[in-house]
Amino acid sequence: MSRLLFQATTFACAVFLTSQSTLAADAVPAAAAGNAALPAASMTIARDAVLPHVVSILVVREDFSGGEARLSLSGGTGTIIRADGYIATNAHVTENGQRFRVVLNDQREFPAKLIGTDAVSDLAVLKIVAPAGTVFGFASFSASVSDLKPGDTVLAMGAPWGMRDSVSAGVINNVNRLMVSLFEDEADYEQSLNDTQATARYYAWIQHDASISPGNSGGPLVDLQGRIVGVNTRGNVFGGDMAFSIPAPIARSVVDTLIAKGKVTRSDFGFGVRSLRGTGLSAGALISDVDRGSAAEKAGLKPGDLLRSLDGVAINLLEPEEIPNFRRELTERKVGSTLAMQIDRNGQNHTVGVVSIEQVDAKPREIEIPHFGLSVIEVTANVARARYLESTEGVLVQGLRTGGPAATAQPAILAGDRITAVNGKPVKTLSDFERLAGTLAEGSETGTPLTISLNRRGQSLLALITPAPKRLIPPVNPELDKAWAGWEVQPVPSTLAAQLDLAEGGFRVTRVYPTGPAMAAGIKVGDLITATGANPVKPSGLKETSALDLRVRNAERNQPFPVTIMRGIEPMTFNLTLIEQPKPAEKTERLWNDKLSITLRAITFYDRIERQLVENQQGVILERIENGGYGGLAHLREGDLLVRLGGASVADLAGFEAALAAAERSGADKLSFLVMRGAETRLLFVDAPWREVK
Amino acid sequence: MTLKKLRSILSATIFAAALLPTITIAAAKETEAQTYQRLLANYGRTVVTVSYILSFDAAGGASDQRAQGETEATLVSADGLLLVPSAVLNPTDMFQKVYRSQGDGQVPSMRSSEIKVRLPGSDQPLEATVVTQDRDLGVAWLKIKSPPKNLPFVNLATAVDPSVGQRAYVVGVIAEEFDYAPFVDETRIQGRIDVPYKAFISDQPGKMLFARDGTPIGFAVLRIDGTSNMSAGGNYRMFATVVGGARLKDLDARVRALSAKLP
Repeated sequence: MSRLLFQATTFACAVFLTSQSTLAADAVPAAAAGNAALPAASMTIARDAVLPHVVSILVVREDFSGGEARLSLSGGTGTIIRADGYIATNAHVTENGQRFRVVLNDQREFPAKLIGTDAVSDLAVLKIVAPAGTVFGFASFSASVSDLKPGDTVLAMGAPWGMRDSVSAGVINNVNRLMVSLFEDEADYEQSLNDTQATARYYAWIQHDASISPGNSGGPLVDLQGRIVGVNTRGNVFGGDMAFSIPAPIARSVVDTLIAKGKVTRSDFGFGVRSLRGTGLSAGALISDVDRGSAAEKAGLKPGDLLRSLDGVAINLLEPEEIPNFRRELTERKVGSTLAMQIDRNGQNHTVGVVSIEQVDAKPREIEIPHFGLSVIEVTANVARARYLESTEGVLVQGLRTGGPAATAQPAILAGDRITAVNGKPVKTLSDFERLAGTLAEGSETGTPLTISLNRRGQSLLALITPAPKRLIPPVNPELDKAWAGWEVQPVPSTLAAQLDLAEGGFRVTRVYPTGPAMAAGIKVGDLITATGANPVKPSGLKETSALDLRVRNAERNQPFPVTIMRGIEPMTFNLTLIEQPKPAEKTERLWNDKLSITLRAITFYDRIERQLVENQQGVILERIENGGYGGLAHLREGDLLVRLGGASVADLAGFEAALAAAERSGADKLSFLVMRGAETRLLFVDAPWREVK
Repeated sequence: MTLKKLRSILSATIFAAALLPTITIAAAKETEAQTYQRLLANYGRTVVTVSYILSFDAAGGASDQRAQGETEATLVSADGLLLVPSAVLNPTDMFQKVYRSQGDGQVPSMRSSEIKVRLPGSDQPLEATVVTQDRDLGVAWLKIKSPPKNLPFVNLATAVDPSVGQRAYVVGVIAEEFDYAPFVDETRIQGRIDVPYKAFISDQPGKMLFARDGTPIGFAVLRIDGTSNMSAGGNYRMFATVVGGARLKDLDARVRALSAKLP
């Protein structure tokens, strides 16, 4: 079932900016649409108690694809839960987050830092970064929700699709919703859930029908007493009226732990259980799986064992719905505690003692090594178990940049390889590899190959890799200089010529560039070119101008280039002196700036014409902007002409670099950009990259 | 002129002479088999394999998708200058007419970089850079950054134009699993082009064409016509234009000058 549910994490930045006025015009207030009987006064109380403390969260996240890290933007919702600025939200909102900003109900905007995250409960805590002594209004989680009943009215608050301070209303559908499959074997279903779908395997959710959408995640569910009774975490991917919240008492406990300790510690005994449904048995619970190398395996526990009692207490798990609470009770035991298990195996009773270890984060950390052209993950115990690895030493290759050093190593390094050493130096951990690769990459310009020791499905291989700097922009491939006439033309085939009362076909001049050879020779818009030299030139269709273009480009520069044209009914001959073609945009050098995550290029001759720039206009053109980078956060757009940066003029690419360096030296909190966008000018700001909150 | 310089010129001359023996006389007397064997011996090691990374440009020149490609190239200098079809660097050039005849007529942007050259008998990839290209003619020149000394090469200073109907020979290499073994094939110069520039028509795209005596007479590049040719089963028409030897000789001089300026 939960595969049909969305996590309200990612949505396009454009959605954030979607015109609220347009949507508002079409929107129907929830109360008016379907809940006319709801008590308006109570809703007002609930709204005023919590909504002022609800924040929108903007996340710059880093995800990995093809061995490369990519930044993007996503968003969610949170609630300020303490006067010193702690915010509760979902773990999947902060997942892979590199930077966080929050916008308060009063429109104030602050950076925030991640305090802790707990994927099992899907909860996380951020803290607003504000001047010392700043006090925030806050709301609290209800200590108990035992009085909630199906049919009770609740409000969902948050930022659906990035539209902050939104409130929707509905009723509780179920106060104890556990995610169990009606259709699949329960063990298969358990295995099919990914790391971020774990919540309802441990905690029963509150199911309700207050409308939530992507962006609501982490926002509060509020009853009409103004109590926060839950944290919204999932909605129905197909829309409709099914939403799920983490009950407030659980959220309160987890969030308090995260604030105090930065993490939630849980026990792992290394085995799974399933209910007796469909087995014909009537008492106990079945051991469904035993992790390889776990304490349970070492203690002799086997899949298929019938669990009779734990620590002397009889166990009877007849239905799948009983499993999550049982599992949760086990994981909440102290790490290092022992379970005394009474087991029935083939009619024989056994006693097994299993000592727990600390449950590790299910999702291993991933890093990119740009000079190697790959990304790797740490080999956690879970990873080692899933990949049949004999140890957790080394790092596991996760992604490869096509054609990069790792992909073209000899032999090529593959996803799934476990790297155990570089140049004979052992790699035991992710940190080892990061440090070692960083040190060795400093010598990458020399092209000296490095020896990588790796393990591939039990084989010990050696590979030679030649580190190389990552090229974010492929270099422009130079071309031989070509001749240029300084005109644009449209083809006029003979059939079209006949309809236009022209004697013959040719190429009609549609633009004559200033300072070009055509203008110097006196050619005008509307002239019809019919021959170059002694050779007639005829278009082959309505689109293709290459017949004429190729002749011009391949003619000699600074030599007479005779052109026959029809002006009206008069044939005329002009002698052009072709010159070197001005550089088009694609042949202009580009610059990638890592700090702002933008690509820039110089202004070309053609830019000046198309943008109608004044002759001495200077600046650089923004070609590409990474959404999650500082350029993207400043709302720069592709095509903008950047003319000032941090108060300094930007004449060209070198000027851009100088202006950025000067701004950095100044240590200013904000970085300003003055750009020309179409016919308008925009002044934009972003928190300076060197002021990043870690 | 210093003695050292004179010695250098002499050794270069001797090397070139060794590479291109006086084969015209031999060619007149030799059998077809002997011709193939001589061409293989003289030019088999001038054909190298080139690998590259194709980037599919998103808006603004950013590279969002990448793929690896491999082709062959011909050594045209002892210090690692290589001739390849420019479509290797700009793959969509070849399909411009196809794209323009379809949909909105937009031609996607792709280009190659991170070029590496593998010399015959070596498994060490050598980094190469683009010296220049002429996308109209369809040819491009690469340069190995740190080449071994005295590489075998096709001397374009001796190149001449072919004539229509002339028999032409090419040298190529087959796939990696066969250790890039060289082979000789033959074709004819099938026609001549006068506008928009002078060239010839043949097949064997991507390869240098030689006269029987071993004189280079042109370099063939693939062309794809955007018109669906129903008489050929509806496929796009493919043919090769040949940049004639005389034009190659002129370009060779320009390109060497550019190559000398490379860092």
